[in-house]
Amino acid sequence: MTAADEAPATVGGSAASVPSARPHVSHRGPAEAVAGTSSPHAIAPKPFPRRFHQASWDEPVIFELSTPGARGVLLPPIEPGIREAVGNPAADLPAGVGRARPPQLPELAQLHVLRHYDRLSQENLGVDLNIDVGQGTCTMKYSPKVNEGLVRSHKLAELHPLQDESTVQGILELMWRLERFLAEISGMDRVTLQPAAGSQAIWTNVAMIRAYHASRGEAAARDEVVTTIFSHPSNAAAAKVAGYRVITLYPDPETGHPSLDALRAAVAERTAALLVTNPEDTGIFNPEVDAFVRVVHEAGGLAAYDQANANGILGITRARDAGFDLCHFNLHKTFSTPHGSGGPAAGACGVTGELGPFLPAPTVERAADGTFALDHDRPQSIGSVRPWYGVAPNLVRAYAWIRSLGPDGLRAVSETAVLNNNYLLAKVLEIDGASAPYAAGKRRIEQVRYSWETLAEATGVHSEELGVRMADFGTHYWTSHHPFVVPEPMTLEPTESYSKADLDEFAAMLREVAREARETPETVHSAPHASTIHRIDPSWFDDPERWAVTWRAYLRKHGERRAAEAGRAAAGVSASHAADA
Amino acid sequence: MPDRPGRGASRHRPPRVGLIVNPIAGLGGRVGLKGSDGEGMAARAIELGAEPKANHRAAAALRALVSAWPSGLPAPELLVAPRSMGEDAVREVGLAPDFSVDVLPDPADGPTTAGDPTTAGDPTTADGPTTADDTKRLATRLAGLRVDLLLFAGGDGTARDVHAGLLGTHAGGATGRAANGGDLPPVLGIPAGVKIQSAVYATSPAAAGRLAAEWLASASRKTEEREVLDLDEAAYRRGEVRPALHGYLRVPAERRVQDRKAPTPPDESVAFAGIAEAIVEQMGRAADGMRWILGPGTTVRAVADRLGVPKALVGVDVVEWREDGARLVAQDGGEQAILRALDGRSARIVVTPIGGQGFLFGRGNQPISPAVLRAAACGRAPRDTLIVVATPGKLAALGGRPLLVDTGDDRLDAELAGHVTVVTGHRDRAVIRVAVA
Ligand SMILES: Cc1ncc(COP(=O)(O)O)c(C=O)c1O
Repeated sequence: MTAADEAPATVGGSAASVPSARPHVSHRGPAEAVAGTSSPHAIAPKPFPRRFHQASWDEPVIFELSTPGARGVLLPPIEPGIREAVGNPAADLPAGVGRARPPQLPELAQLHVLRHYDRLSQENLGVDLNIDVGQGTCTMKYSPKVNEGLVRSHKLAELHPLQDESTVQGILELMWRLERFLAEISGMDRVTLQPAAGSQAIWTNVAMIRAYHASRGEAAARDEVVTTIFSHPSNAAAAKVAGYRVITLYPDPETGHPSLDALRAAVAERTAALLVTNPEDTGIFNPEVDAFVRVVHEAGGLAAYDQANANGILGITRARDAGFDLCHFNLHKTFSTPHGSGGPAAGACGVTGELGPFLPAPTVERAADGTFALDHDRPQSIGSVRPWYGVAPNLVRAYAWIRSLGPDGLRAVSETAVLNNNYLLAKVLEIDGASAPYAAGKRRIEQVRYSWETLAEATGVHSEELGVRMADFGTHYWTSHHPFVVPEPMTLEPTESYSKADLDEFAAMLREVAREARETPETVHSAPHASTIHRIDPSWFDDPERWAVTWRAYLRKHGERRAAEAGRAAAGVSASHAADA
Repeated sequence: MPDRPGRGASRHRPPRVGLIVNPIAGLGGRVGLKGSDGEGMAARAIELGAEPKANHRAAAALRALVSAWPSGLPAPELLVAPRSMGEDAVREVGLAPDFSVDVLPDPADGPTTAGDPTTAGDPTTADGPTTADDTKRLATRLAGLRVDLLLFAGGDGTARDVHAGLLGTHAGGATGRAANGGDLPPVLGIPAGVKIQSAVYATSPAAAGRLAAEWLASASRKTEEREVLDLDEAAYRRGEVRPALHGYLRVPAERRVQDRKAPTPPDESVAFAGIAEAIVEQMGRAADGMRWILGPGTTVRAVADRLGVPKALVGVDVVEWREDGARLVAQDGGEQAILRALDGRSARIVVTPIGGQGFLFGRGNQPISPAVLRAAACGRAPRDTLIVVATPGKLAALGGRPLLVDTGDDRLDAELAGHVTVVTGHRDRAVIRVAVA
């Protein structure tokens, strides 16, 4: 049954008068008309909120789809001539590297593999599918599809990192130029493109800070790193992994950023570095950041700027201009490459000339004759942070994105992102129960951490629940890192990619969900109703007896229960349906 | 017949839920009296036109509990206090038949304890006034009936009475392990009072009902210890906020929806363990024989647990550290006992802010008096003797507000003000502002 089948015969009726015929939206209550939704639609009326329903395939894990002996590709037998010429290639492997038994990989035909992943892709949300302004701090922007054509070209896809440098001059030049662009954007002298994520870039910066102090005989004396509670927690985490004690500054209740006095109380001769995000996760820019850097420098420490998200400041302000010694960008945020969801994304670290010797090796260098080469001979380098040199496809995407915009275009990106954010801020603050703590009446940069505290106190509905309910309208939002310094938080970041209509629709959905929290709170508590995944039980993540990050671990910890379920399934009752009943 | 022997928690029997309503809670708020504790306040409020609302708030919580109860699980068995102390709320809801309800006998029929000065008339019933003592007796009674969860509607005074009633069921008094609520039945407050400082209340009646249902139905039934705080109402009416720490109760740990970007942090015990480790390391680096004054609270108790010495949860202890171990030199001491334990030597003071307002000194830890602070400092700046400990969650709840000091000595308060380093984990510190209250 299509939407047209069940729509009332009248075409162009007002949104508010269109009853919802589908059972899955009947819980929504009276729809609220918003500007634009009452215009006549030729095919069927389009009520607000949209009658979203996500696919739910109830798809098993791919290991459970395995059929012994099934194959995706049947390889032809090796021709005798080849066999004779090559012999047994495995014979040269050192003892101990071969497996005694083959890996337990799932066995499936091509169709079943394709179908499995197509189904999973339908059970997803992402920047290409929804109004993705709710994933605050992640800078969800459009990644131009033309760039995908570039990275799929055989010219890139078939390169191998062990090729002779003379045969890969093109990609080396591209990397060298991208480094120069990022050096210009940040004001830094040198850049590395090796890290595959923002957190890894922060780690790389921390490793360079440690190496710098070690080179001056101060590694042991400087054992503290200062950060702020609204800086991304990877700053504290990377410092701790490197063995530092971490001192966190909390915001001043008025301005939303820490005071200079708090910083002075934290900085001492033990300070190795300050690691900060600015604007912080609240979208508030610390205007005293240059003074912060000065205080740290006076104590002999270094200052590193987490510019993972630089979307509000491109062409407006630079890390170096505030005195920072190091910085990093997430190319998968500001520079539009895909995020990779913990897979290969791309981070870039920028440093001053003084820290250049500590950069990860190899570096890309241009010789006097204009040729490019990888320099592995860097005695003070922290070493390699990733095999080879960076995630090449993402470097191509970021390069193409920067080239297509130019300096004025980059600045226009930030101006548009900031305008969008402040427009959405005004719309959200119109909703009863929403607020934007700190810096009252001031504009924000590229994102805002809102609070639903008033609504939660009045209704008992938590921000996380509102975010889940948003899934019934085809979107979602993220709350904040822990601990929740802003109570009942919601972090929204509308980048330059979204239209005014998108932002209006998102704000109207928030308003609708807030209304439900007041009038029909059970609808929100029991959400989602029209989404793929319903509630998950987070207690698993706290419980080593139950958590499992591999299929093998899952079977080890849950094998018995699975066998019991399989028994029930064989008896004619699907375990999952029995659980739902 | 509520006097059945209690049974241990089991997934196959219906959970047992106790309910106590303080019918006069919240009366003073709407008419500007700032609370109903204290003789005559309730009657005064009624005179001024206040309407009793606590039963409606309890009913709202019950409604939420019923609607959130998962079908398929045996419905809870309610043990309610009589008349306006619980029964009325149940009647207002009109529970489905699968929810069994037992009304407890009148508390006045039970063994009485000494009369309570805060006795206030019950304006809601013709059959005699309810008193703070009734709340205590009912709490004792319900604990004896081994309820899985005790719901109570009221304000800070009610939480205090419930705490006192539950403690009454245990030997050990305020210094023993029982004062931490660890062995007492879990409770959950339905907010109905004017002043709510105590962390044992849900954010709304509906939130209380829902949390109760989700927690009772969950397999793990995880709990957390939360502070029972009460203001001095007479001072509060004069515009002074003076919360005092009365003890701890166990409340259901709220299982919030999982976040998609950041994992929920492991529970507080992990932060406690990290803090304790940091302090014990610091002790190991200090001079042998050094005295350590341990203030009240669960965070500081974690340090004592790590050292293997007993801890007065709402009191102050003094410990001596030597390489071969820690030894208790004063337990739950007053100012003089602590000064004697210091014996003229310098000492370090481990304190944690009391939740809510974030008082560092002057609320709940008065034995750490100006004299003790100066004696411990032995001529140095008193703030250099301080080791402030707090979980990141506790600091986050301050939302950027400063920690407060009110030792009663203005000069000392001014010396303590400024920025202080707080131990928040093993290798974690925070810098927080301290202000004079
Ligand atoms: C400000 C900031 N820094 C660092 C990171 C970490 O980046 P990644 O997720 O690529 O490791 C993020 C990502 O959310 C961020 O927002």
